Amino acid sequence: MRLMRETLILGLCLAVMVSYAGSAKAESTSSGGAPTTARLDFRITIPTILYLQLGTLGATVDRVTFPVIDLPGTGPVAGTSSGTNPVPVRVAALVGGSALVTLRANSSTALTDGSGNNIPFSEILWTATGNFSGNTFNAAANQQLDQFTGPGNRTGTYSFSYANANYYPPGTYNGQVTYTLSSP
Amino acid sequence: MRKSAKTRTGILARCRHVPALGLLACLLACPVDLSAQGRVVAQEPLDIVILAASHLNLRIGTSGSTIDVVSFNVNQLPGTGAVAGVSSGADPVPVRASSTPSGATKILTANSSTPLTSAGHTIPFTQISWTGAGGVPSGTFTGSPSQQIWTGTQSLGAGAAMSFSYANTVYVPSGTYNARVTYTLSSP
Amino acid sequence: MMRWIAPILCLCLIPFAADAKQLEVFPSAITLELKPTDFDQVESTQGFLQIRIDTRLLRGSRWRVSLELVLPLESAGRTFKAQALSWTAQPPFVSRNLLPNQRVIVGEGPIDGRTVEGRLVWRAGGGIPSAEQFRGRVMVILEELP
Repeated sequence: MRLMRETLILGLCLAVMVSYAGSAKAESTSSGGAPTTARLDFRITIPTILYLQLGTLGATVDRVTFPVIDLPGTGPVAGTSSGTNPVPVRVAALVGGSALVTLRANSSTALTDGSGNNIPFSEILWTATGNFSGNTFNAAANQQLDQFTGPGNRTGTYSFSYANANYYPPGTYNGQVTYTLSSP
Repeated sequence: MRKSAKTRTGILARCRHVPALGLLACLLACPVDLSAQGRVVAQEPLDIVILAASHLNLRIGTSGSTIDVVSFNVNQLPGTGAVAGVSSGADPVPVRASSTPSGATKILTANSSTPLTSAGHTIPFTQISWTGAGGVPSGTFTGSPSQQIWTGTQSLGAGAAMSFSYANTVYVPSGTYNARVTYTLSSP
Repeated sequence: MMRWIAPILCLCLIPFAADAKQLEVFPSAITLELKPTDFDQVESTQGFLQIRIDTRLLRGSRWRVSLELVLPLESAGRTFKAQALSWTAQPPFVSRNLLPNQRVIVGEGPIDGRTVEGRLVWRAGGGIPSAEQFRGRVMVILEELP
């Protein structure tokens, strides 16, 4: 009985000693001038964000205009944006480390003069600077333009040209391309 | 029998003075009664030593063993501005540092050498800074194992605190990043 | 002359011999260490003092034990407040604090032939002005009351 009591007391003492020795705390006191420590934890939560900018910031949609003055076959016609030239492009993403971030264009609706005449978007091409690639629209709904991996801020510009390789009825042809940024 | 009685009387007669002399000897050598009510019969000395040893006391955040967590919930792209930290304990985060003797030189340092980590990705502690109050200077973590935060001979008491901020200027993978900073109070 | 010395010595020795058994105190020195528990509070380690009184060796109706601070607790000219020293005890001893310049009664009881044993658990309180050692002395006094 006495041995049990003594063992229990010893166990309790050890338990108390162990719980105080070397435990991480927010508060502590030391003796004899020895240094004493306290801890503070930090937590940063980074969400998933996808951001795409094409042309001028804001709600206004820029318009790239091609003033064709020569016959087809005489060379491409450079486009001029109603916004900044060349057209600024920015893709910013907070995503998983190996997540794919893809920029696509939907140029499936041809430019039209409103009287039944169309010019397919395959007549429009562009050169790019920075993180982006130059290409020609393929008039598809889901053309992949560029793909990136992981988070980052990618910037560059587009400079558009009208190929002017084919004969179309005279008129003013309008169209719109929708760019989409997605992950993956 | 008469002889022994005479002897006894004789001894007794001579011993009449013995108790008085004995008491005198005792008075000189033995405890003295000081109390009007009681008679002191014994006393034992007890030496007492009180040690006021030197100590260093440090608290960052809530009292006790709970370690506070300062959280930054980012909801904007990097480069759009700093994000204020919110502590799980009191805000701003209290800092208490004192010593015995109270006027000893004290140095508070921080170890931010382990960056914030999430699934193998890291955010360096240089992205976190604080505004100090009540004697605590403001600063930015350097990622050093022993960055001096404060030094003084006074103590840091009520009002001493830190408010943290995440710069949010780096693109890092999405996730929850955690890390622990160890503060040390020492006296040279 | 020798015949006078022996009775005198005997009379004196008997009280001394009785001293050793009437009142026993253990240990003869205790050390208390002050340390802060929080920034405004201080607590000390505990000191245990055993007191034993053999009432068979006492005359009168009641015994009484008191404490008196005979050497104040000092360190390089600074004095530690006596009132900050206190103890807890079980009957017939009482829990009290020390006072300067005054005998403090610790316990009382009947002289009934029994041996009385008690324990005073000492502690010190108060602020810590500086790192140092205070030393003093208390006398544990046993009295017979008529």
